[in-house]
Amino acid sequence: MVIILKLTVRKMRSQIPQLLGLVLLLAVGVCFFITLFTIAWQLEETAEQYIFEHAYADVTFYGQFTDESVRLLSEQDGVRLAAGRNVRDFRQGGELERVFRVISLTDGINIPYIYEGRLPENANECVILKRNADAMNFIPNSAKDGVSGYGSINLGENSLTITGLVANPEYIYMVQNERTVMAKASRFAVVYVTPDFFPGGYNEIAVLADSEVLAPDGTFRTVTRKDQINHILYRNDLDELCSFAMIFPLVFAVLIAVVIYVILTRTIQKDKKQIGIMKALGMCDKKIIGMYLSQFCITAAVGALLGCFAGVFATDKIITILSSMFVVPALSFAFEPLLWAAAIIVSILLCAVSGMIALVRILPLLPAYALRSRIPKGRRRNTLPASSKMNFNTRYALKNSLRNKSRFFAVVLGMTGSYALLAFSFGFNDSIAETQSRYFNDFANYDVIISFNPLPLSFEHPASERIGESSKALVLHIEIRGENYMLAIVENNFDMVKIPNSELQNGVIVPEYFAQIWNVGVGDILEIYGYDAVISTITPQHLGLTIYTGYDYIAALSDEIPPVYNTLYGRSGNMSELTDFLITNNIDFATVDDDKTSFDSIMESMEVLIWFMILCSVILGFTVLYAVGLINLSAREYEYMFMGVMGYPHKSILLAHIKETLMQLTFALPLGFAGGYLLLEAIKGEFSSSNFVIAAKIEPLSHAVSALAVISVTAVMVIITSRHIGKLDIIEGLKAQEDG
Amino acid sequence: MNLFTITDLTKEYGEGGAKVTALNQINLTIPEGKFAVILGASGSGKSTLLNMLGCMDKPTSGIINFFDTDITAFSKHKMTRFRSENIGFVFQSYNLLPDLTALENVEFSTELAGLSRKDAENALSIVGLSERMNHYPAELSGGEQQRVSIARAIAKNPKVLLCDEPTGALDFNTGIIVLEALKKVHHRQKSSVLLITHNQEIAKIADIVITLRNGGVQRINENPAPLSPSEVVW
Ligand SMILES: Nc1ncnc2c1ncn2[C@@H]1O[C@H](COP(=O)(O)OP(=O)(O)OP(=O)(O)O)[C@@H](O)[C@H]1O
Ligand SMILES: [Mg+2]
Repeated sequence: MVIILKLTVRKMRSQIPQLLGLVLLLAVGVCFFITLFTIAWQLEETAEQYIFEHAYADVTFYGQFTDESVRLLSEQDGVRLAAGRNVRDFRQGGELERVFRVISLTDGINIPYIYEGRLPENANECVILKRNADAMNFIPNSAKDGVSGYGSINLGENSLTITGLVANPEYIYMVQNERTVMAKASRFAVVYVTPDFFPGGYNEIAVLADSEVLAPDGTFRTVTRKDQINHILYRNDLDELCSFAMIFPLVFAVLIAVVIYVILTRTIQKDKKQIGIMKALGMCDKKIIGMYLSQFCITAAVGALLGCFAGVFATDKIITILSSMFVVPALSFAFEPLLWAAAIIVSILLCAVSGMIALVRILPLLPAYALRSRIPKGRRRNTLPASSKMNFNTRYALKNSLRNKSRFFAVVLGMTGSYALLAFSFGFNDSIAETQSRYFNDFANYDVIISFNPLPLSFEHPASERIGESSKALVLHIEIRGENYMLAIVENNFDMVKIPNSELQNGVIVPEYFAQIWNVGVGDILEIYGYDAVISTITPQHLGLTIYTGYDYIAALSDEIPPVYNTLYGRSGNMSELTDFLITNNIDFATVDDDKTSFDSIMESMEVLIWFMILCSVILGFTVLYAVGLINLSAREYEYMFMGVMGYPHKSILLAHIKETLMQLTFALPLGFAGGYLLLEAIKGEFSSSNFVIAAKIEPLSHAVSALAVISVTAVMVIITSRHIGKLDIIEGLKAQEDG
Repeated sequence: MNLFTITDLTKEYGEGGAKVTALNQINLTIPEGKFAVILGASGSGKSTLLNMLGCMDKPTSGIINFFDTDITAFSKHKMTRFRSENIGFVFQSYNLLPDLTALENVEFSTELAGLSRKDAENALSIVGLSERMNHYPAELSGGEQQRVSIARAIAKNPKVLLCDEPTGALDFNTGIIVLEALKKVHHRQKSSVLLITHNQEIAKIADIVITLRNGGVQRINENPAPLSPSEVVW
């Protein structure tokens, strides 16, 4: 074994560049896998524990309640704890418009996690989410009036001293409302106060329950934990992380397999004679396999281990980046032995299997044949007519590509993969911009949405006279097939969003994404409140997905839904006067700018991820192109040398090489173009939810940049090749021919 | 007892129009413990025959018995075992592993046969290369490489040494040294030797001379008084 080991080590030494390329590929792939899965697993574990320990409410009722309704509710079967509380938004107008959501603390439900300080003890104190304190620059100022505080917040006539910084499972994400699901921490803050901050009565009851709970009198809306946007976002992000963790490493795995196959095929062809000698001396196939595969398995193990360790650093980095989207205290890197083992074993298996595929072609040969020089594949079939009008270069390039299809296509695949990944990553960015533009430029046609308790249609809301144009709507949360959706019942001439309003009388207008997940089409029946509603049309929607229908249609369907409205969509008019009015009267509203801000903050938090993705694509693409290019070059070495011996000038050899490369690019670019879209479409679904549907788009610029990147690396490879051809030694070429 | 008994041995390469009959219905016996030379023009089938005898290739038809055993019926695995246990090869083009030193090349073979490093060193001293055993093949001359190749073949003390034109690429003096090394091994280890050459003079050192022609045996001559390598000149 000693000599075979020595031989293995020396063989590895002689192909260090290729093996390094392989290590790099494996490390990047494994790092990606480990990082994303560690985060996903840790997020789930930490978040579930956080939700449990801090008693995130199982059900929340919204409406008007008294102590009596809370008491009655607590007596229901299955209810462990019920607590009334008040939630009110305070808007600070002026230049720096901010919303403070003030929530009264309860005993034992939605308990804040305290980073520092203490909970409020009287109506003049409060705690604020730490992320808000960070974003709004509330710096600790110690021992003021005997209380060590962090500054104070002015809400109308009240001034609250901040006594601590907290987090809460009900605000893992900064969900301001249905459309503003990721509010900026500098514009929307959550503050917890003692119950005596609010006068008697409650507008929410939070419940911890083991079974379904009947809504108490005065309930306007019921939301279970799993239907809370905060919770939905958390589950969605978990799924996204997992699918990202799978898809990227999978693409890596395919490319790694191809690279190993190409390297090994090449090595084995080069070593064919040596394998023949070893066989002639009586070395059995098993040992030969062991010798070649062990090189790749060692490389795989080294690459995978490096990837794992890189993952340790990447994980904390990514968690920091993600904390601009969501906050789960105590979420950090944790060693997942199962994950590490899986990554290492899969890497080794991948290398072993792709190596085996390359080996089985040469091992069955009897030594007498293995010792002979290689008969060029298809030698007889592919001789090109000498009389052909093509010049030597074109013929040579064409012949090479025909003669060594697997190597030719490995290069094409490398180029295709790099292009597709790049176009996909840039395209992801484009798609988010496209989604935003489709919503704000093409769909939304309102400036403000005002929400209030239902009013009869005949009654004008006091705000309506301050708006240029307004339209009434009843926005309801309905349940369809066990899930929560938004239904907007609107007037017939409703034009605040771009929907075909002539269809409002004929049935319900359903967002495309819902039609897809329900698998329904125009004319199909949808059950709403037990009534059969007809789908009149399907429209593309991307944000705050809503089902629209007309008052007339609903009236015809049922007389149970009264002609009331709880929402005013408004356009133009004097916005600043309007907002002042709404703020002073404590009326809940959201402007289209709020929505834009929220969207921008989603964009901002995603941008980091997208750049991370682009970086990975670039590393991956370049590694593959470089590795494949190197292998291609070493495979050609003897050919080029021999051509040199025969008297072909450097220039024409290089030209032949360039022509072949161009041919590969001709194949790869269109394939990569299609591949980018395929990847984008595949991952689009993972990012879609009832709040957000991505409009897939890759801008021409992104295509151009991706193509340019691939062409540049290819060009670098051609330059390396050119220099290499220049340095080739003719004497060595002759010797090599002798040996062959 | 005969070392090899060859019956109706035929070997064809290729198919259809490109078919070449390298050996055609050969019948031959080679006794044990002899120094035999196979003579013949280029393309007469010498290497093909040696490959069959060394279990490096399978015949198209016919039988080769090694003592009592039919080696043509062997599976690939048994062929490998047979080679490592019984055969030492010396190739025309040396065929050393370039990544191993002279000693390591020999050790490669002894290791496979379950022998020690000492055996490898002994073999190298028999061919007179003890001084250069830590050099890589690229650092040795052609004759030295060929002697390493002989050392590699004899180190495991095989029953048969198969040599395909071991002197083909060497000058006269070096050729003589290589032949002397082979003779020495033949005498010391009592190995049977089969040596291919197209050189009539070299045939004079053999006990038996087998002449092939166009894939058939032309004649077999016994040599009652073989010369020593130092006595031949070409
Ligand atoms: N793998 C092969 N495929 C096709 N034909 C072959 C193959 N190997 C040998 N031949 C043919 O078989 C015949 C005998 O070949 P062989 O190598 O045995 O000759 P040789 O006597 O050793 O000649 P030389 O002295 O030149 O080495 C030749 O005509 C050769 O062309
Ligand atoms: Mg020959």
